[in-house]
Amino acid sequence: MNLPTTIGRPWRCDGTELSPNLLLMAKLLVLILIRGDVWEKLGDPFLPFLPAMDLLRSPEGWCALALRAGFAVGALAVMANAWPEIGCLILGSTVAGWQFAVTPEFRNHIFICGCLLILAGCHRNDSNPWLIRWQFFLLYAGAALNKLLQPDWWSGQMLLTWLTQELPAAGFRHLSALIPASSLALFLSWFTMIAEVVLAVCFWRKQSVRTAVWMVIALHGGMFVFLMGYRFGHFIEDILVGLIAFLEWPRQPLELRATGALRTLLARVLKISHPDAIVRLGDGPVAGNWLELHGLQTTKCNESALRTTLLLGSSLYLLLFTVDWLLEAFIGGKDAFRYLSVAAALALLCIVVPIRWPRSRCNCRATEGAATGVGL
Amino acid sequence: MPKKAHLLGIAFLAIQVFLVFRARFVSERFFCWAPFDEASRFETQVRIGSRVLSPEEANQRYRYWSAGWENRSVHNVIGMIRRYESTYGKGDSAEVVLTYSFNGHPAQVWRWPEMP
Repeated sequence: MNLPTTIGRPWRCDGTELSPNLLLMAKLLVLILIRGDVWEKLGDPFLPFLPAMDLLRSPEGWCALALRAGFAVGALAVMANAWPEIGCLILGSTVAGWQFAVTPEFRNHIFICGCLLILAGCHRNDSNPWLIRWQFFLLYAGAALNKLLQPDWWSGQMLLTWLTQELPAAGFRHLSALIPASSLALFLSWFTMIAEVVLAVCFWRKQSVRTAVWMVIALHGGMFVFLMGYRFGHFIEDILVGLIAFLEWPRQPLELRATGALRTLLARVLKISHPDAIVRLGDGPVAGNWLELHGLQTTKCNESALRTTLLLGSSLYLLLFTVDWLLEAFIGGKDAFRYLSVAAALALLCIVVPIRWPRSRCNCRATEGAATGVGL
Repeated sequence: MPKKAHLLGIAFLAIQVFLVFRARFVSERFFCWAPFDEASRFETQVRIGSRVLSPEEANQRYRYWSAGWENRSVHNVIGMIRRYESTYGKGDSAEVVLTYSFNGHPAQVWRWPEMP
């Protein structure tokens, strides 16, 4: 077992036996679990899913202590790049095991974190995240199966109750002024069921994962906006973070070309979050461009180059997570937080979605727009 | 050929597949990827001897909220109470009345001890 070259540098996602995208995903899941106070909730078995787990109960709370130790060791290994593949297995097993041991604490949004961590840990020296793809298939297939077998989903009754009584959703209220609420609920019910079936099929087929990823972003992003920042616990974050597993990292180092202050700024950002083996600074760009990214199938210029560079490093994701965390700490629970979250999600979509903006100009010799294999 | 670590992942996924299929034959919806499949409003009343527990005491007893909305199957709540009263709380001989309405349907009542 080799010593990871980036040990002790939590912002780096390279140099270990986990591929950079899986390590980045794992780090973000650790942060989500810490933010969700999971460490504090870990406790002895209580009404366990498997009755035999009751044998682990003790007055001294040894099981709780062991779970907390597992959480701390696993999280530290992942964050500090100290054999993170083993850390993923320890942390994932701790979280999933605790969920089986304490059914009142069972939440799908916590269990999925455990699942993704365990499966990431199984992908040592393996950049193809096929186990994660199967997990996504199972998640959407299970969700679709449960809904398809319930008459209240066929009639829209469940969503009508949920959106009008439990979670009075502003988006639903405004739309139901135009369309009868029952018809709208019926449409949303069928839309959800069909979307989940299609997603399950897309994740099943290796060739359509790219389509599935964009569909997940559209579906959950749409729900987030429609429900004005409702996150289903932290399920939306978990799913979006899980998609990072499908972001293909380049096999050859890319070369970023910029001049002036931008070059100085990029040098600092790249030093922190982008491994030399992935993106390095080169000579200045051709006239007319302020940024170029070379090394992909096609040369990327300006906004497109910046977007791809940001997506291939940890800084964008960690920054977004930190800002969201701070906002929640200061204004969480207020309407302003939900409005800001929705506005930020929409702004982020504009950055991430590969749109060629009308004023965007590229003076590269190579053309843009072809599939690059970078995923996003 | 899959590596040993892959086999571990496959086994973990196989357990989940089993649990998804198991959910077809039981009323509870744990570990089967059924989030937000039902919207149930419920209220629990627990009586031990002649004393009725306050909502806070009931919350502490089951480590779950005793009244409100449940976004998974309401049978998850019923299952937890049933297991508690038949194991940890067996000696208390508690009487539980859980009134619930799922997806806006008329209210139903579940009682512990259950009638045969």
